[in-house]
Amino acid sequence: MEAKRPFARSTGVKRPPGIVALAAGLLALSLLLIVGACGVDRSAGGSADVRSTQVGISLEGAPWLDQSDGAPALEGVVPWPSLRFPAGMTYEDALTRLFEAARETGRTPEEAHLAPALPNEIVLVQSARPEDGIRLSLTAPWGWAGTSAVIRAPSFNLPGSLTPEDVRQRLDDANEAGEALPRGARIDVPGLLACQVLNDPPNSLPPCE
Amino acid sequence: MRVSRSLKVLTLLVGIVFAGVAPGVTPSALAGEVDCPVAHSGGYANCYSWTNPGSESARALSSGGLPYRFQLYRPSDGSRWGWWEWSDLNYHVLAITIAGSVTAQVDNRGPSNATYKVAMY
Repeated sequence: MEAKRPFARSTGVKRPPGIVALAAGLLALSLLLIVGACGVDRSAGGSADVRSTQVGISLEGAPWLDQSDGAPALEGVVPWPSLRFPAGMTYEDALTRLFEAARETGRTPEEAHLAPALPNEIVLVQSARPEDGIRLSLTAPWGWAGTSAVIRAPSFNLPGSLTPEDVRQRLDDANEAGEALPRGARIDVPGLLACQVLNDPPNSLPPCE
Repeated sequence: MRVSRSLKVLTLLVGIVFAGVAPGVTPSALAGEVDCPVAHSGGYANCYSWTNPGSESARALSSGGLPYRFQLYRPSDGSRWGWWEWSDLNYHVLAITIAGSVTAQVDNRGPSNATYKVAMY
């Protein structure tokens, strides 16, 4: 934020017009930036939603994260917002960043923008427009499973060529270093049902069975 | 008395950090693992039980056991976590801290009987 410039006391000396013009220009620029940052999000069923540019939110209590008493069923949770990731990021990229951010900061990734909540059964929105990034549910980013639609917690994988001792050592090392993923680990990307993925423009989704 | 209270506070703080708010893997000061044979198409088999795990992992030891599903079950109150389904021979690791005795279960959905390495830390 620019420091305020103290105005000179009135001593009969006229204020340079350039300062007034500069202040007006900065105000106009600020307004343009604020208005321009708000877009219209036409995904998720075609309804017009205002895209939020809020920096991020705490993930405390997220249903895929807080499962101390078992995996919650989708229908029993209050929907969380979704996250729109930068163009070019894949579902795996987004899950990896979300997992790392959750572990390292307890908040959503900085590069992702908050967007309105998706229908609970929708995990992922993929846009036909290359400039749009994918949109990921924060209710169930790793999807949900079974007829009870219980929300999955995250998982990651390590090469099967490692010995069990190697695995334990890498887990310990990551924990000591405060790293979300151990060396050589990749986030697990669940296979999603067709009814869990929404394409933008909206497709006609098969029912979830 | 003062030392005991401090220890309780420290334990509580550690528990809060790892109680699902900050996901990650807990130190494997204690760990257990087992090779668990599971018949194909037989539904979930109880493979291994552990108390107060902070991490859980599974690995199929042969391709005949692919794909497989993995879930966790707490008999004391019937709580369940998962299922996750995997189709490779990698280790798959969860970082769910669970209080109480937890049983790891595997459902072999592959074409033949197979063995799975299941561990909890």
